[in-house]
Amino acid sequence: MLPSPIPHDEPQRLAALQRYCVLDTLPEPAFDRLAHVLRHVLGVPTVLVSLIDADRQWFKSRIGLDASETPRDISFCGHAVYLREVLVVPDALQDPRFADNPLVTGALGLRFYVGAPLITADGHALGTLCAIDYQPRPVPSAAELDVLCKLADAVVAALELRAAAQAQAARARLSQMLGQVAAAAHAAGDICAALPPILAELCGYSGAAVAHVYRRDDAMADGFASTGVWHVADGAAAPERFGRLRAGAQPWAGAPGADLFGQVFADGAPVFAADLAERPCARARAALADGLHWGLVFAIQAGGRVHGIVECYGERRGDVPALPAQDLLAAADYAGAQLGRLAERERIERLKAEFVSTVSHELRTPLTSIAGALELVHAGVTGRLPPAAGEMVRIAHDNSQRLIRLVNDILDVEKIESGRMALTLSPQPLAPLIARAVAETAAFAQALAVRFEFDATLPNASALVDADRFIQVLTNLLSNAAKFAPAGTAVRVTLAAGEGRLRISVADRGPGIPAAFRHRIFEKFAQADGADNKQCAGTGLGLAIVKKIVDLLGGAVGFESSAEHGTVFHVELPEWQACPQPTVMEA
Amino acid sequence: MNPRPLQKILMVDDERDIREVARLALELVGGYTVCLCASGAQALAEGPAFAPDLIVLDVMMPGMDGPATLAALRRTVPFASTPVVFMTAKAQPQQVQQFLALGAVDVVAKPFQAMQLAQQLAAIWNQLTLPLESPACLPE
Repeated sequence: MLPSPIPHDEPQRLAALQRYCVLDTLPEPAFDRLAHVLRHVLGVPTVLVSLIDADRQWFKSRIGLDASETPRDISFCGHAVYLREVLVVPDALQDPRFADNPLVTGALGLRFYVGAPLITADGHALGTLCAIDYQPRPVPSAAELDVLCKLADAVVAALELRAAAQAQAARARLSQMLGQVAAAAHAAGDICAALPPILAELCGYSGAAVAHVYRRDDAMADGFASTGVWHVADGAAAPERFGRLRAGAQPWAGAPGADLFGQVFADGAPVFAADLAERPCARARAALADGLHWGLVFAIQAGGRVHGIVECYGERRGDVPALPAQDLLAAADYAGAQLGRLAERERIERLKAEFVSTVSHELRTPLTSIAGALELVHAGVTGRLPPAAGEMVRIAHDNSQRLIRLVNDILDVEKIESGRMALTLSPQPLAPLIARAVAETAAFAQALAVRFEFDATLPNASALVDADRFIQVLTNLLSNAAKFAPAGTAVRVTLAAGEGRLRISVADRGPGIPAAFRHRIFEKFAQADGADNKQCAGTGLGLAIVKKIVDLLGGAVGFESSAEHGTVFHVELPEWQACPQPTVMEA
Repeated sequence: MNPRPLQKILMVDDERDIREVARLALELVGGYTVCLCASGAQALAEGPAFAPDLIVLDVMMPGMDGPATLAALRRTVPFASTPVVFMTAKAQPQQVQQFLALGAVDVVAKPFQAMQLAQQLAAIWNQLTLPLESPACLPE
């Protein structure tokens, strides 16, 4: 017997066959119909669509045969694939290539064979469309062979159509998956909240049984440590499942290398390992020991910085929908970028907060000495100064106080903007808080020859506030008004209630806010030209802080201003009703 | 109201200029007797001889920081119950709560108002009920 010979393009041919993802799939009418037509045309008992795999021939369609595959070396179709032309064997017993072939001499008793190769557009012979009889037959007529060849072309066309439909479905699945990953990242807002839904999406999409995340560990230079975040596709799996993978999740040094992590770290590109047995590294061995066979590893990265590594492992891929490797890699790459964006944002926020905090602290240390020393000298504790020197010390003292306010305001703004300002909310009567703010700012106003007028009306009108922050809002508005009020005038503070809201108004008789400046009055460092010609200049952050705190309190801040009547700032807050007022029913 | 008047204050801060400003503020404005130390270790070494009524402790110091110094003071018999006030630039509400939880009686924010400092410490002192009900000062 002459074993089925191996074509010269065998590796490429096998790769082409794999791309069609057709081996070991269920029968399909598109192929069976063509086989039936050939059986009818030739009048033979058996027709096959045979695909030549590495060591077997597998039948996508088999009319008149029970077996689904045979070894490749005894296959007739292997010869047709090697020859790349129609093979006709009228009587196998008379053909020295097949006379002692087990398919001929064995129970099957094959005697007649005719097969046309299935040659793809890119020139690879994947298998044959063939007809078999169990008795010798004459060579088919030219017309019959022509029909055979045309039907073989139709089989190739059906394979192409099938592959195109699969590719389209895969693209749709990939597109849907990417959309869901983006939505999960957007909805989560931070990486800790984003990881569980995105790992679930990835496992659902790829068929991975388990996924796990490493993140950069600040305690290790360039090192990574397990986050403890695992996703197990079968949520009901026993806790000891994937025990070796879990036990082996040790800190990783974060260095390029031939292992799965090292390769991802070096290239930045995801890695798909179809067979973990071919990857000699600790994680692959642990996964194999846990009964896993393939791996998908990718980096959580942004701006060239790897923030973390995600590893997904799956069981043998026979029972999951096979996805093209490039789709898995695209999905992993996208998920890594989405998570990386969140990680990078967190890193920048953290750096910013640390920077602001450090700078503020570093500024406060010398400021403590400068302001303290100036205060003691200015107050005459260290002795009386000549008038000119005294004036210079006053200027230095005032400006040191201004610097302190600026540092405090910058810290407040940073805290609010980073969401780290914790509010302690409780229902509070506002009138006593307003009175405290007035008292705290009175000395400041007095120095400017301005007084505050506040009639403590509505003593029980309450709102849900953080008392310290509410007083900060008021003192900012009061000191602002005092700065702009003409000397000798009063700043009027009122508290009014209506329609379930409380309104605190601070009115000065100053020159009003220039029209061109009004739209940006609550912006940071926004100050109208010539606004700070008094002795106590502002930081440019006071009104920005007012607006941010009032927003946090669920209220609103606004103003009316004119050159004739001055400016009124008002803060509105929902009125707190301890007990809802009973509805009065009219008779 | 604390029946015993505040007289002697131990000030621990690694910044020489801040120590000097605080000394002037406490001595000239408040009339207190002040002992200055540049580190927690110095406070532990020199403090017992001074026998302060109140200790003002900087938080961020190299080596032994404020909380570590407080812990060491509490293990030292003469200071087992001496009230400690932290003085720090990190005086946000949550941070203040953390310092109080460590055993400080109060927190003074930096930059402090030099003319108010003596009055501020006097107010803290007057709020204290002596002897402090600390297990460390109970007789064995």
